[in-house]
Amino acid sequence: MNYNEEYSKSIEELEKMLEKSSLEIEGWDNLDEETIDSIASNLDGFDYCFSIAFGLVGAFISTNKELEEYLNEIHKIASEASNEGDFLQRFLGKLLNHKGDNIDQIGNSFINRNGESAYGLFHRLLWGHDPLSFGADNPFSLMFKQKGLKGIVQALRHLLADTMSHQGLPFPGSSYLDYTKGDGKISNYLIKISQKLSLNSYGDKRHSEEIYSNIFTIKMQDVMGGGAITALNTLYFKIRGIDDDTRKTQFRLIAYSVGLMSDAIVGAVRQGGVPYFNIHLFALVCKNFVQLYYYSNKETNKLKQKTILLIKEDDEIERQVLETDKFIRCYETTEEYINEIERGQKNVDDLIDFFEEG
Amino acid sequence: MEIKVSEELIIIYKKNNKNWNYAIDFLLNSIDPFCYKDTFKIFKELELEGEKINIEIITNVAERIKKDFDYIDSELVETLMWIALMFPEV
Repeated sequence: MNYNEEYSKSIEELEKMLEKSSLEIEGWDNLDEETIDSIASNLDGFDYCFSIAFGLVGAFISTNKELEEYLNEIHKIASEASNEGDFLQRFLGKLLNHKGDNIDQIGNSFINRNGESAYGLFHRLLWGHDPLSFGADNPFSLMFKQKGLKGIVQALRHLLADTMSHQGLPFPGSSYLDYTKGDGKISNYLIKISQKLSLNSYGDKRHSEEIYSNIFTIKMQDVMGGGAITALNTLYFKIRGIDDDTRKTQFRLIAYSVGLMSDAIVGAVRQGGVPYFNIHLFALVCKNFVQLYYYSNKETNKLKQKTILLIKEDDEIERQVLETDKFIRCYETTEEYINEIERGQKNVDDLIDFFEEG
Repeated sequence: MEIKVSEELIIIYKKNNKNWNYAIDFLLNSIDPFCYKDTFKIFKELELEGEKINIEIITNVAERIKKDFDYIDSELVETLMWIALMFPEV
């Protein structure tokens, strides 16, 4: 084995490695983001499939006509207008009885917030069904005046019962959309919008109540659809042992969004192009969107903190290296270094020769 | 309370999953309390197709009709049912 040749070969390889590292270090200041691998999604194939499936199940429940009729019968029993239905319907109907509540009418007529006779089709929108109303028609205030403390519970029963009707309950805050018509009577912008949508889709206003009830109200059926999605999500996470908050939120966001969109599409098909708007599902989509933003931000901040820590550690290592470097003699070329070693070796050989001769 | 009304009317109610007691109650809550009596005074009669069959009107609806119109009979109830059927169930 030629020792010198092997030695030179090793030195050459070392120099190549040094050059490569040097170029790499120089390149760190001009990092090309395109060359960084994107972070993989937290979701796998099963997650995508099942989240979409659950969303479709939710939409099926919230748009099912049989279920709508079933719930509506409960409302009729609660209004004392029916004594048909199965055991569950009669039980819930009796539990949610609200006949004669001032929330619906004062005396024997539907009225609006001005005390005038109200358009019956929209009586819930015009009086007594907005828990956020601070006027005389606040449902809790009305029922408290009518029935005392029991009236507070009665108000809840009434509002809950109304969510089971065809029309549902106007969304909270809708009472703030009242306006005065040309004839001086009180109406509500939601009626105006519904009438306009009906005109655009059907050429007349006859479908305005139907459109209003599918866009601007909260219905128990919608809550059941959303609830089904939630229950299925929870079961899925349990079965698959999913703990990662970001992954769960991504899954939920897909499921609820699919539910909301499918619901809307069914509506557009059924009511002349005007989509359904499931307020409950929309709220769930918004909630999970905010949650996803929060978790993503949290993860980004964690990575940021870790990066800052790594930079600090790196600076410390660099400082230590530079410190030790003060005591290490540097050579411009490999030959210089080898010559120095050979010179040193020659000095040692000369010393040995001197002692041997002596 | 038992009332005789047109079978065809009942068929339409059932076909549309509507309840006549609920519909009448809703109608009576929606009418203009200041002019409905005068309006009904000039009404003579309504003639619907189909044989007459017996149906049940629940007590509080019957009492409400009596209170609002000072009387109740099959013709009046049938008329109210016919008008109420034309409105969406809310």
